Amino acid sequence: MNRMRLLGLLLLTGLSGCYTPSSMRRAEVLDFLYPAGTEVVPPSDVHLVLPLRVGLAFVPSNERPGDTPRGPRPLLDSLGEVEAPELHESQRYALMQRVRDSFLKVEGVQRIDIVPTEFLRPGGGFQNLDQLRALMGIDLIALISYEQVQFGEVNAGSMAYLTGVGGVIVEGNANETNTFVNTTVFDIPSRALLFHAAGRSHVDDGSTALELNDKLRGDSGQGFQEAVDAMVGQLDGALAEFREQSKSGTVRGLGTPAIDVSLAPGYTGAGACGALELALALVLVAAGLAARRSAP
Amino acid sequence: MSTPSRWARLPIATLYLVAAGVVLELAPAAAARFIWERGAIAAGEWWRLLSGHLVHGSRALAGTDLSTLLVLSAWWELRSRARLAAILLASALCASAALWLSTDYARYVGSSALSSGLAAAAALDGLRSGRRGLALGGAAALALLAGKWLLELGGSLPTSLVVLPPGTRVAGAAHACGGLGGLLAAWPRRSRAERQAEVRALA
Repeated sequence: MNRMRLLGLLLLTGLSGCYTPSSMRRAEVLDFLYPAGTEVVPPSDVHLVLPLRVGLAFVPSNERPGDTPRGPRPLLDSLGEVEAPELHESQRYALMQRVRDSFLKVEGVQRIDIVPTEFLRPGGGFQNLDQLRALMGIDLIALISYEQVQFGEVNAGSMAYLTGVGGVIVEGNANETNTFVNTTVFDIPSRALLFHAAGRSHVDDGSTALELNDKLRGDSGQGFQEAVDAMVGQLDGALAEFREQSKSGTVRGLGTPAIDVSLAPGYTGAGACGALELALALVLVAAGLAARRSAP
Repeated sequence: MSTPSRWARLPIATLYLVAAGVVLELAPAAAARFIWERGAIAAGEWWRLLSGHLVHGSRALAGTDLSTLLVLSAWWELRSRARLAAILLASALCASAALWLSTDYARYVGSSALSSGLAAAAALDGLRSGRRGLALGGAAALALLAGKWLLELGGSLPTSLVVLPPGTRVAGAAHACGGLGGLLAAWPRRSRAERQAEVRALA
């Protein structure tokens, strides 16, 4: 009887697990721009010539497969190896297109080029960005960095896994996915940070032991999508703030690089009607119709 | 006494004006001869100071600008064709002068400087109508227009209803000066003959 109690206790300890990082993937902008040992050069003054050509890229990750830190993992993880997949190129492209769409509306931006990830080296720094500038003819670079952590634990339902069939039909795993993405826009020639916008998301999900990997992969994609949506919502505000700030002649206030904006030769001005003119026109039509109806 | 025919009440000049804008949009070769272009104007092609306000260079821009122009211009034409001509001329010249003197644009497209002038003139007309409701509406419209022009000149307000082609930005100076041109042209009070003509046209 004592042996049975001991076995039960061990099983419960293994099954209950504890909230520990199951997997983490990240690519940080500072790791890319200033790898260890790089001398930090202060940014110089910014001179923007409109229209701008902007590059958009995911920061390359420094981590290799298998580098993801892991804490002690629940006993039943072994039923399905929890290996969070790296964000693959098609996912990156889809996410970048959404960011690109929001930049396309920005007045003064001529072109936005999505930069394939293989064009950037981990820790490539500004030398790598200078190469991109020469290769693609871009003035600014918008770097998307990210960090995603997925936690997994087993709940009381996981006791059913011991039956074998339970691993297929009972959701004994509780998964949590936290995602943070950040877009940082730099002027490449001056090395100056112009503005940034961030977004985050939190996804809770449950799964059976059998579908654990699929669920984690789905949560990962959902996490990135929601975080990018939140980030895109912030981009407009960050850009408007940058515009206002740049009118004072500096990038981000006193002590930051000076900024001036000029037009490239051949720039076109547009007399484009706004909502106000259109509304006035509609009011005149409505007033005219009302006057005609009320006329005897 | 004969009554004016149904056709006589059509804003013919406005329809010709908008049709010209449509034709220039559909025929880029013709548009190239009429677009507001600094180099060509400097070389003596002065007509571009006026004709450039009917060239758009983008279907979306042409759609919103010409629709607004159609309504505002028709509204004025039904009241006084002479006043409409004066407002359009003053708006175009003032906007072109502002573009020439205060900006570095190599080209300019769009007819909203004309709409700005017509809208401001209509607001002034309402303000001076002598009827309380119309006067309040006119004053509010003028205040809104003035605020918009100031924000545009400061670069704080992206006001275009459509996404502009790459390498193009809203020319706030054209809107503000086109509007002021419209106000100048509408400032002299209308003559008795003009008002009587308006009553006949609207009857």
